[in-house]
This record gives sequence, C-alpha cells and structure tokens, in this order.
Amino acid sequence: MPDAAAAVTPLIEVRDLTRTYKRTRTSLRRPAPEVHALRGMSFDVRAGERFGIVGESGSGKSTLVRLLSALDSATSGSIRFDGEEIVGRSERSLRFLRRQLQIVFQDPMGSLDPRMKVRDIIAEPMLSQGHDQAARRQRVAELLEAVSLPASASGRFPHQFSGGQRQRISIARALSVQPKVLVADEAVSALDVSVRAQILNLIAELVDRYQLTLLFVSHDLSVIRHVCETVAVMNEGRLVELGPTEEIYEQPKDPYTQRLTAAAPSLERALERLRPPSSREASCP
Amino acid sequence: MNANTHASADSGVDAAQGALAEPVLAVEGLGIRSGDLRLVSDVGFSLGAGERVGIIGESGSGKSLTALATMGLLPDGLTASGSVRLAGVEQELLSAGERQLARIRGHRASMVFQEPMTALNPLMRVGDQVAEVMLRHDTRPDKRGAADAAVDLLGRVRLSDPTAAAKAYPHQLSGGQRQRVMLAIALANDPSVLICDEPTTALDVTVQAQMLDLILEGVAARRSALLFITHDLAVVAQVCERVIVLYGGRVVEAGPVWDVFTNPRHRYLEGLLAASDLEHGSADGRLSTIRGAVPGAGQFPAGCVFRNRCDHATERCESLPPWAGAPQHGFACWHPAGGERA
Repeated sequence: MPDAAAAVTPLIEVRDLTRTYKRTRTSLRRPAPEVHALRGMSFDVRAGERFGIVGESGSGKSTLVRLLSALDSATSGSIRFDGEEIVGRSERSLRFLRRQLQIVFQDPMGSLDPRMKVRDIIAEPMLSQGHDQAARRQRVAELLEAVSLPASASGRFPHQFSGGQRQRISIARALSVQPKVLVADEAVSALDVSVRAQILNLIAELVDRYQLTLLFVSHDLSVIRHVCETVAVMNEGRLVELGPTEEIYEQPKDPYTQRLTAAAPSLERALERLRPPSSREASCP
Repeated sequence: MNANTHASADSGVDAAQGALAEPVLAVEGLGIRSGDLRLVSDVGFSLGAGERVGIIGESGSGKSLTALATMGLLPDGLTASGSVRLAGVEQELLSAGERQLARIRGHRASMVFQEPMTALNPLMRVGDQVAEVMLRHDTRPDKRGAADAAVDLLGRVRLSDPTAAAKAYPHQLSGGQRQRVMLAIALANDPSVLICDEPTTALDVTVQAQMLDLILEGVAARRSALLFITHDLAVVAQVCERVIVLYGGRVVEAGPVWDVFTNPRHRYLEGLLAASDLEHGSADGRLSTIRGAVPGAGQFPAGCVFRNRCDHATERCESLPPWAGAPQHGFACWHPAGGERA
C-alpha cells in the first residue's frame, strides 16, 4: 500500500497542523490561558479512501473537522486540498473547497433550518454555485431518490421527519453540489440502532456510487471499523495511531488506543462471559 | 474490566432467588397516557433484592416513561394506571401523594439520570447536595455527620481528593465527575432500588466503563436492586442479569440476558440484534436493517406494535399477540424466530 499511496498525490495533505485557542484572561498579571486543541498533526488522505477519525471528547477531532472544512483557521501548519493550500485563504477564494467538500453533522435537527422546506434545504448549497432553478429542481428530485426519500418530501418541513429521515435530508444536501469529499461528523451517533444501520448502509452505497472520499469522524471505534479502511486515533490534540482499521482494532500499539478498544462495550465479549457452562462445549450460536 | 466479573458472577443463582423471594419492586399492568395517546401499555416486571435488570428500547419505546412512572416523576399531562409496589411501603406508588413519594425518593428508591448537569443544582456545592439527601431523610443525625458522610461517599465513587470535590460547584466538574456525584447522591441512603436512566450515554467510552463499574460496586455493596435503562445492547449485557425489551410502549420480550440475546424470539429483537451487529454484515459489506422508522409517540399500529416494520407479519398480527412463556422469560409474537406459535 505505501507504494500505491506514494504514486498518486494525496487528495488531502495535512502537515504539522496546530490550533491554539485563547481562554478569557483570569488575571491581569498573567497572560490568558491557552488551550492546545491540536498539537501538530500530519497525515494524508487518498482520493477514494474511507478515512476514519476516532477520539473522545476533548481529543481535538471536532477542531480538526473545522479546520479541514475551513470553518476555522489554523494557528500554524498546512492543509493542501487537491494540491491547493487552504490555510490562511480568504473566504472568497475558498469557493472551490465549498463545492468539493461537504459535511453531514451529528444533530439532524440543529443542522436543518426549521423554517425552510426540504427542497430549499437541499438546493441551498447549489445557489452559490450558479445553478439555475430548473437544474436545481431536477437535482433535488434525483437526490431525494438517491437517499430513498419520497418525492413528496420536498414540500415538507424538517420537523415532519424522524431523526433518520432528517439525516437523509442532510446527506442529500451535502451531495447536491457533487462534492469529492463527504465529511460525516458523528453522523450516526444520535440515531437509534435500527436506523443507524440504514444510514450507514446509505453512506456506504453513496460513497460507492459517486466515488466519494469519506472522512468519517466518530467516538465509536466499532462503527469506524465497519465503515473505514484507514483510521486515525486522536488523543489530546495529537495523532496517536494511524493505519489500516483492522490492524489497529485487532492489535492496537499505542497505550491510549489499547484503553479505547478495551473500554468500548462489545455485545460479543459481554455475552461470552455470560455463556452458561452447559453450552460452553457446544458451538457458538 | 471489573464490570464483567460482577456481571458474570453466579447470575443464574441470583436470578432464581430474585424470582422466588418477595420482590423489592413490582410493576404490574403499567399504562401511561397523554390524553388519548397510549404511550405505554401493560408493562409489568419485578426485581428481587440485589437483582440487576435492564430495560432496553429505542426512542419512543417508553423506557424512560416507565422509569419515571415508577418514581412518581411523570411530567404534567401524563397519567399512569396499573400498580407499582415497593417492598416495605404499604402505599401503592402510582396513587401515592407527593408527600409520601418525597419520603421514598432518594431514600428507598433513587434514580440517576442521563444529563448530570440538569440534575444537579448549579448554585450549590456538590458536597452539600450529597449531604442534603441524607439530612432530608434523617439518615444522618446532624449537618457535620452528613457532611463527613458526603465526603466519604464522594471518595467511594473515586473522585480524587473528595474533600476538595465536595467544595466544588457542578460546573467545575467534568461530565463523568458530575455523573459520579449523581451516583453518590443516589446511593447515599442505601436505597433498596436504584434506577439508572441512560446514565452513561453522554459519557466517553473510557469514562463509561469506570461509571458502569461504580454502579455495579454500589449496588453490590448494598444489595440494592438495579433497574438499568439503556438503548445500548452491549452495555445491558455487561451490567444486567435479566433484560426487558420494550417497543412501542409494550414489553415484547423478556428473560435472562444470555437467552434473550443469543436466542431472540420476537422479530423486533431479532432485527435489532442483527442491525447492531457491525461485524457480520451481508457479503457486500452492508448491514442488516429493520425497514422503516420507529413511529412517533402513540402512532404504533394496533395489534402487534411491530407489525408495520416486520417482514413476517400476517393478518394474525392485527390482534394483540398474547404473552408466551413465564412472566420473567417469554415473548409476545405470533410468528416468533425459531418457529412455533400462531
């Protein structure tokens, strides 16, 4: 794999990325305390890769997502997207990034404007990209179909949908401008288990169909393991481990990753301990 | 991890004793309505001393309402029917007045909620909040005694430097620390029943693991019965001996964790277990799913609540499936996984 990766320039190149926030001053004599949200991260994402980012609260994963999507500016370091530097650019010159990288957020209620109809929500990213009305309408119909929502959904409002359906609307909106990269920031964390499986399947299907590069951010390593081929484990603003998901899941090298995999609740492990003695010899059900 | 040693320890023996001895908590025919909407119907279960029982369900299943009704904490506008009895309390709880309930809550039965920030008083030091519950119920003679006991309890939920922690305000603590304070308050008066409603859902996985250990230690030390409400199948398997599966406000299946999770009978539980299995999807890497979405509150179909999402549903399912099996171990499905019935 290193050979293949070296042969093509990566789609996203992150080098020595840091982000430091200043807290409000607590004393006149001392400088304002600083929070080091990112302490120097470097990694590459290949085009078409399904790249997972896992970490707990405070690990810096949300800061990383904000920097990658240019919603916040880095303190130092570089992010090259398709060869172009995005750190330090003005909002105006970021239009190419807005078209090529789209985000699906965790909270499917908070990220949809309650006063907009679904068709306007889905078409909104296209407005700034200069599509005419007929093209937008056509595209909304296509997208609703792609995310398995009925055509009648277009005239309704977000509150008329369940959490899973709202997440489908968010995904349709993200795909409206035909991005290369889809960022899913805890996109299934707020969903019920039976609905989570549907949305994970939908994301996998769309990534295949539109040959998307997927950046999948989650606190749940088992979900990342299902979705992604590569995983970056973050802790306290640092990248502690990076590599093929299966390898890291099965044989974590970093002590933090080891703690994380051990602490994650697993139905299989829990049941193994409950197995009655009588069925221990019998084959696993 | 520590949690597991507790969970696996002679679960069969404990469960059997719990069923035979007089239950500590007995819920029968619990129904909850909001006007004409039926939110919970005919829910019944009982807990023996020291028994750990889980209630699992997705949003809208009625699991939290069931817990709130048990504590007499239903929001205004919701009415409960049926009966809830607590060992040692003559009065049936659903018909008890607020005064009687106030004597029970935090003493004989207590609860840990999902959101520790809203459950704690932001204007009061946490040590005083732990002490308050003991003073209210006269389980400590004076303020000094209660304050000392509070520090001791904070130490037992492994807050480092409990003396300093007791002086902190809730906003100075992390989510995990706040949840430990909640647990210290809930356990302060050695309740006979501890109800935990999604106590670790808002926590990181490493913090969750510690919190689950503390809950198990806490109930084991007091021989308190534990009613643990969650949507997480893995957590319930780690913590509980028995599990009750709710869907659409009804108990669809119940029994020992091992039996229920390895040999599900109700089609909903079968689908839920398959959908949560991220390791064994289909050959093309897709996950097994349950079609459709969980209906809104009160919008579940008549008859079998799951029939509009079930691939095995027939006309038979338009009538309510009767409970099959023992009260503590059975299911309500016309076309169960594994055959028979209907």
